Amino acid sequence: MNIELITFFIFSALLIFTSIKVISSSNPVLSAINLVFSFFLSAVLWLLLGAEFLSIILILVYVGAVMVLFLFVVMMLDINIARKKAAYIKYLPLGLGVFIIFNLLIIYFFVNTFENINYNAVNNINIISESNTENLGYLLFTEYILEFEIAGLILLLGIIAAIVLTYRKNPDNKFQNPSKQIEVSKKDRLKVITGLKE
Amino acid sequence: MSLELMFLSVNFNLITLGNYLGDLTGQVFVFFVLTVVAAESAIGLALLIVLFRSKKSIDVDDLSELKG
Repeated sequence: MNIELITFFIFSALLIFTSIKVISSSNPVLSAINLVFSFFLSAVLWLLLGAEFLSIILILVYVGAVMVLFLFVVMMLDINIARKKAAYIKYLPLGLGVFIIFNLLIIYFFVNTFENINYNAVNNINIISESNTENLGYLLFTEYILEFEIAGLILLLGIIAAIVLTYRKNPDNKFQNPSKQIEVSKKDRLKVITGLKE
Repeated sequence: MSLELMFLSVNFNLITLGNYLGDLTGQVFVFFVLTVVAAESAIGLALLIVLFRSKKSIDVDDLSELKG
């Protein structure tokens, strides 16, 4: 057995274990921390698959930003341990059905080897570099430039939506009202006092 | 959080199959999925905070009225 295979088996077993802990734990903080662990483990597995850039991004963006945000919100809201619910039995058939259908799809994919498909985006625009990051960046800024900009717009939308939703106006804050500033006339500001005697 | 787990598995599928077919498009797609998920979780958590402020609970079953 070579080292790649051993690494794969160890990390995928740990990944399955932590994923089950995520959905079975009744304490939301514990489950978020387990989710962080599973992100780390899958980053290692992505590294094995040759997706170096994405595995670094997964750790930096996901563990560094999204999961910290998640933990922050979960701890700030101070949710006591979730009530035990037996309702998930209700959704078991549906979930099992989706699970089986997806597995059948993947098995179908691997049984029918799609060797005759020759489309390859990297070969298509003639960039073959050793580095995965270089290839990905090249592809992102040539073939998928429009999608890249749409992704930027979506992030901007996320920022604006989150701020608008959680913004509370504080009456003590002093702020300018531009339309009022524009509408102001000479009469409001300047008072000419007449009839004054020496 | 289960949603994040499902997104993770989708990304896993994309990367694995991309590796299998020797195509980098799957990884580009994963990049966009990560972007969308980041925006989505930010908005979702903001909604959660607003919900908690008005209801003092985050259980979806408590959301049974249209009144704000």
